[in-house]
Amino acid sequence: MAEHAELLKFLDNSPCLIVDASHASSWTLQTVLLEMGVPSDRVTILRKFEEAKTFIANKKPKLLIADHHLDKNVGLALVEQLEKILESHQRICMVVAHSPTEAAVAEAAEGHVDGYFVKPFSSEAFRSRLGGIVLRKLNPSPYSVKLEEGRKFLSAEQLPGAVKEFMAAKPLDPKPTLACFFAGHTYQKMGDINRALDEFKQGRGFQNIHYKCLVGEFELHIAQKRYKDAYELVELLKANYPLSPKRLGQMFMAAVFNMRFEDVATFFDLFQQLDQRSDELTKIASSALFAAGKHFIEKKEVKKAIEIFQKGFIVSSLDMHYLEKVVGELLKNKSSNEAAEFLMKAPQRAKGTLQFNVLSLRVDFTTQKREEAVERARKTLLENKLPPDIIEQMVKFMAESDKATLAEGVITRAAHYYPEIRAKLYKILEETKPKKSA
Amino acid sequence: MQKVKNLTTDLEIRPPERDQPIEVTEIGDLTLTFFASSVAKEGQLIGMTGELASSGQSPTKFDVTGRIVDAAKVDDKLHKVSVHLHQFDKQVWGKWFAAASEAQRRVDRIFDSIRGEE
Repeated sequence: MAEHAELLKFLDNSPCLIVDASHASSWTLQTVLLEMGVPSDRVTILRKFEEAKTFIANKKPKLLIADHHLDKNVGLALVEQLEKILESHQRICMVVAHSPTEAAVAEAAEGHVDGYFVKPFSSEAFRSRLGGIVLRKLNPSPYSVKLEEGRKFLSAEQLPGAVKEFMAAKPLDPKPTLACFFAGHTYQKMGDINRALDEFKQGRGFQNIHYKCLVGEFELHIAQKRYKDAYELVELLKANYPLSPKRLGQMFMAAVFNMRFEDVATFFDLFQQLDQRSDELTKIASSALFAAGKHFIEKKEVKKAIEIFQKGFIVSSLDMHYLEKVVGELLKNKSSNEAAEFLMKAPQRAKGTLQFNVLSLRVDFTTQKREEAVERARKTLLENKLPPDIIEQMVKFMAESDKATLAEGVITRAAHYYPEIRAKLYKILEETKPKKSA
Repeated sequence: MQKVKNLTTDLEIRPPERDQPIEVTEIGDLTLTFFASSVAKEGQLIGMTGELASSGQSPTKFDVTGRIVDAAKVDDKLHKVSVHLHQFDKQVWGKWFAAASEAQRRVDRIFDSIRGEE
């Protein structure tokens, strides 16, 4: 019962918000709160992300319980919103989810979530966890108080004041890893990289795999473009913690800059396991996989390159620009057959579009289908604008085939789109001699 | 749960939302809790037919007979019902309950290791 009184004291008549698309789950959470003595008019249940956003902005609930998956948005976005309105000691944010992935839990733990529950749960366990959080928020240790004060300075960008508080926190705990992390983070913001690094390392001295210090050090190296140093921490992070989407993105980058292209391919598997992928992470992952594919082409390991390109193409959601880049690389490597095969991976919706047809021409110009492709290109040019490189190849091939009149027709048509290349095209026509076999 | 029947009254227990199965919202060692729209009373026997699904496992068919140990009225159309399990496949339940408990422990481990002493 004491925990009930503590919860009411913490809430101080502020509203509680439950955001969950499942009626059953939200009723359970509501019942727990009511059983803990929260007046029913203080508990609001909402089903939709946008409604919840508006409620948070207007009512500033001190207790937020959100499902990790809401509409297409994540409940964490609501936690972030509340975090901007109320300080850490003023709010409690809990996340609930069915079968969360480890990456999802890691992402929540890295943020400002106070507790994470898997559905269905025991209401007793939930009550107990909530009670524990309330007690900590109401009766923080002197160490936590100092950290909180430092964080206030930090959010107000009063960095020297923040450092002072974090330093004062250190003697208050036998293993002040978090004070070290925040001091390091603050020094980094002040541009004092060496001191920042010292603080992170000091924190890891208390506990080698302390997550925040480890990540602090890793991110500092990334920010400083010291990818080799950053990569040395990757194994430690991978071995001990699930990777959040943000961390995975950084690891992709660090792997590319360290030429660890084999690892890029393995990170793809981790990417596939995520249930939420931001646009930014998707972009980083597909670029990293493209870079890895290019690397294996340069090493003449075309089969491996294609496997990786294929993964990148999946990551890019079958983006045609990605496919265009891959086909370009394969053609540069004179892997015409592989380029033709890869082109066939284009989604059905893309086939028949001008972009697909242009790619198809580029590929066919390098194969036995060249003659047929040139004729196809000529007909396409009557209606559509084709890129200059295609036109140049058409003119060259027509000249080689002793079809100067046809080539002149192409030049006249092309000059309609690109008057500046007319002279160049005539030069190609004049300088290319017909091949005997033509 | 696809079907929940009050064996004492021989009436079907209806879900709170039409066309939606009854969802188990809380679990205990040998108890489970759900919300229903129809009235049920403490001490009555119920029979449930449905599936148990936990993280990373395919759903398993699960039939159970149990006794209502708590039936609290939330409002006129909503009742919270807790059932103590009597006749059921102990192996299926045990495996599922262990998996559900382990899922929470795993989340706690990840969460606490990342948050540290915060």
